[in-house]
Amino acid sequence: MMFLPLIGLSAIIFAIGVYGALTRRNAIGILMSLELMFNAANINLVTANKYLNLENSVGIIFPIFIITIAAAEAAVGLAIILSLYRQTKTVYVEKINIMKW
Amino acid sequence: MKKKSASDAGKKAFITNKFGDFGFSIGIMMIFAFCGTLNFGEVADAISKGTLSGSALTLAGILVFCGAVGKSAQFPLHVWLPDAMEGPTPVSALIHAATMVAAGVYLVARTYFLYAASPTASAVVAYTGVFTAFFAATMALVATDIKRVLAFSTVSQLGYMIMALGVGGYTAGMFHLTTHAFFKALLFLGAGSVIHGAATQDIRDMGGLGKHMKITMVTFFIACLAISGIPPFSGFYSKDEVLLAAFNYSKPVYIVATFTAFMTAFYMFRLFFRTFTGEMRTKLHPHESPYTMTIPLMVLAALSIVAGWLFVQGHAFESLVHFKEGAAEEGNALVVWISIAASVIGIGLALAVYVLKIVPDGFFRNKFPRIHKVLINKWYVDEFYDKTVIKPSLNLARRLFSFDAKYIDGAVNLTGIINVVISKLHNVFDKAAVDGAVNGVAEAAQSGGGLLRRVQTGLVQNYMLLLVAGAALAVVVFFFVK
Repeated sequence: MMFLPLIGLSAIIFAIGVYGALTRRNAIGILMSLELMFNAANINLVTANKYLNLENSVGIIFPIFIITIAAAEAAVGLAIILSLYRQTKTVYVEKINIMKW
Repeated sequence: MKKKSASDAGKKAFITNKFGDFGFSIGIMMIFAFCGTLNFGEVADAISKGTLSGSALTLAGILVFCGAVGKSAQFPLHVWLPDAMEGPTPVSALIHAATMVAAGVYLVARTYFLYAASPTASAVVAYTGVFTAFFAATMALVATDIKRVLAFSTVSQLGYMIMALGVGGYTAGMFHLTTHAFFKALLFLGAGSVIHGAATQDIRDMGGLGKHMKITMVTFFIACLAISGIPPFSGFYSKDEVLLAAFNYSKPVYIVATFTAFMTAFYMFRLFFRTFTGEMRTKLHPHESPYTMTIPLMVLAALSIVAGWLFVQGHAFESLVHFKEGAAEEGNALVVWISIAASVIGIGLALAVYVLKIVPDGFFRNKFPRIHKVLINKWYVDEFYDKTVIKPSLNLARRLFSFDAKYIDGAVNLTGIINVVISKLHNVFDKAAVDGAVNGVAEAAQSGGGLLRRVQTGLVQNYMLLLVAGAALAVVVFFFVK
């Protein structure tokens, strides 16, 4: 029975992602942490599909969508980061505060 | 063409008449208070039943007579009529000879039952009338303005009519009113024609106009004969009846009335001779008036000749005023002859002074300068009124005006000042409380916004931290709070 260890793995990866997203100074790092959180959610869904006997295999199909969207999101995020870099010559998020007021 | 004297005369006529109307309106109210009606017939019934009697009746009669005194220019309210001669002559002819001034006489005639029932009231009427007749005639003796002579003559003749009504000659008064309307209108229109032709109103400047204005002269002459009471002209019949009534009433009244008749004849022919005969005293260019002016003169002259004779045929006029067959009044040959004699003497005297010059011109003026001065100044009645009525009234008006300016205006201004002060207080309240509340809300919003602004740091990780904290809080609430 691999249910609990897999759920635990998913939780640990998600926690690492949250921590990384909150603490990394580099925008690229934050983007990578976000990918970790997506994939933790994917593991969770696949595990739930395997052990909870869900019909229609929703738990397998939904991660495919998430992976697709994550790829698109990564592309948009990287484009924003590149654009920011051209403007400010930095990717450290604490230096970027143009979103206020 | 605006004359100050004309507007002054208008004011004088208005105000003087108001004095009479004041008494008149009180008299009307008295009659209404006693009789409860103003219908002539019902009031007459009430008097015959004794509802209104004694001193109240006398007082009511005298008060109603006040209206006639004002309107018919009787002493002491006669002062407006000579001044009213400022108006155009045809207006004078209509208003001051035939219609308006006759209203007062007509009023007394219409309310005759009041005076018939009260000997005191009728005595007041009679003596006022006879005094006015005499008084105005004396002023006409010396007046030099052609229209003023006629105005005084009108006042005098109205006095005659009023006297006739007072002494019980109801028919005689109304008769004289009617005939007088003809010949006085003729005199005024004749005077208008003279003024038109000679371009002056002062008879001292005229003379010899008869050569140039034949129609005017002849008609004027007829009117003079009529007003002097020479038979068979209309004035003779009516004046004779008036004098007869006065003779039956009281001898002194009759004597004064007859003397007035003498003066009337004198001043009318003085006017006639000075205007139409002798030599022109100043350079005038007189000319006869056009037919539009002379034809009315001729019509009125014809009426002045025949009216008296026509109306006495079969007591026609008495039937007219009494609405029934009149009773024949007893004639008195003595009165008739004395009246004719008085007129003839008056005319003869005028002839002697102004045509034959037996008595030198200015004889009376030089012999009795004081009397002449008093007469030329109209007995100083105007001056007397000026001192006793007009000046005090003006003073009172000035006092009232200063009172107004001080107290009434003061009160109004005080109200204004109080309003301003209250408004200032309102302003302070508005600024402090109302504006304060509005601005306070705005400031609260501003400072609140300023505080909340600090939450937005612009750092993505802060937002994310809050998001995670919120999610954690949601999990905690979901699992651990029941």
